[in-house]
Amino acid sequence: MLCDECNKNQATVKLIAIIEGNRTERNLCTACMAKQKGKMRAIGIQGMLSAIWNAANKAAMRHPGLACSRCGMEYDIFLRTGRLGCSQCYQDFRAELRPLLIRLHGHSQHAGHVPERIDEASKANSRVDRLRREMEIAVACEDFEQAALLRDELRALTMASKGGGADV
Amino acid sequence: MSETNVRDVVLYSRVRLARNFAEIPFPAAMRGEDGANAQFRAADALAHVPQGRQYSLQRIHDLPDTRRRVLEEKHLISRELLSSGEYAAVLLRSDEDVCIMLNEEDHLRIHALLPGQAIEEAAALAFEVDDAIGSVVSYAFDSELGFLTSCLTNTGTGMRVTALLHLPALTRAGALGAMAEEVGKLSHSLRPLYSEDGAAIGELYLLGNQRSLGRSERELLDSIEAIVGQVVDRERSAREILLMEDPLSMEDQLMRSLGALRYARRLSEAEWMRRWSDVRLAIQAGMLSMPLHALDALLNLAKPAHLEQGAGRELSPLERDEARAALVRGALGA
Repeated sequence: MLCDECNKNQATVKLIAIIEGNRTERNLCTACMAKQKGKMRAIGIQGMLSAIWNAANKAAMRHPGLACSRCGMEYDIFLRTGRLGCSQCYQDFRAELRPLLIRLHGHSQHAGHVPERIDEASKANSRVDRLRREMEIAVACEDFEQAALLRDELRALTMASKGGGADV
Repeated sequence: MSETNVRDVVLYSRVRLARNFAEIPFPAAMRGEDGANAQFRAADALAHVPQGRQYSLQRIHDLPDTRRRVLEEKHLISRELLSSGEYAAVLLRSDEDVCIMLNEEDHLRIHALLPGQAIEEAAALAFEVDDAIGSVVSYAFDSELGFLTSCLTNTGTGMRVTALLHLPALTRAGALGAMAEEVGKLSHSLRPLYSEDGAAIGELYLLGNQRSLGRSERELLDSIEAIVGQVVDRERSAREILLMEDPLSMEDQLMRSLGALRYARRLSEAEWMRRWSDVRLAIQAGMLSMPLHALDALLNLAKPAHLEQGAGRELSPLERDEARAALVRGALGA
């Protein structure tokens, strides 16, 4: 049997494809099969990414009327374009954004670098968040000694912040 | 480490940080003076960066079309920046290792791009610029969510680490699909740099992190370095197997590509990339003596805008193929 694709070589493999429920069957030679494999891989990767994005979008409920108090960006427009308007959008849409962030990143708590110029309250807050997270991990790993150390550090930081007037 | 060890698989390493100014609306919602303000603030903050004087501000609107496309072909700016409006600009360090896109999706996109396997070094460069700017301006930052970016895919660290990989042996062994899947499970992506009909042109792939929130920069760097290391090891083993199976037919195939590049009078981009990949493999297999960096440099030089820049005028597609063939002939010494 000759290859369905090039009509030159002997067909050695049968390719069965099911695309959106439609089944097709073709007999291919080794060279044409290799080309098909390349195509299938590309579809696989793109398909996977769009599936992730669609899943994230499904989690996003529409909220007509919800808009940012500073730049006026409407939440529904953000859902359509995927672009937020300003840092205040994150404050005003926080409850809506959190599940989307968890879908995308598996987390909604920043664990990285803190820039030099942020207000003292945010700085203390992010240290507290970080310590709290580490403490939870220590408890989960049953490393109670480490958890106790973190708890003390957390307590000291909270006291210091309160003394300094920052709202923790 | 020899050149082969550093860049036989990894062509370049790039670290990008997305940042916004706290007080200015993000590019998607900028009005009136906002864009000009963001541009001014960035240029002003750069005065505080080590070697700040080595940066030049280039406004996209003021650049000739060829120059814009040359910057894009070098991966210094994105295609999106070219259509990002009046205030789109770039702050470019004279050695082009660091580049800051202004008013693209975010106010600042700090990029460090270094040849070879140099993720750590690229990260250090990007962090240095980021810290310097962050010491004079307030970034949009939130203690829970980290750096606030226009798109949620960058929220948190705002960091995207990518490595450009040349994977001819894994591609030919048909192993890329399974590997991309494996990499995907680790929240990273492995995809062709350019593709045509699903095949990666030049057998070049970008490997990068997909998640930016919930892990520190250190953790992200460690994990991508580990994954890159794994892929590099597998590619090296696959190359050995590929060359062992039928050495003569492999050598025949690779050297035919060298012949085509040395004598062709017209080279389309697709043919050039395919043969480039063969010749690169031949160099690593020891069939041919030529520094890899010289061959890699041709990648950009043979792109359309670079060819037009060299010719000093616009070229038709056929003229481009001729100019490409002439360039490659000159470099590979017929």
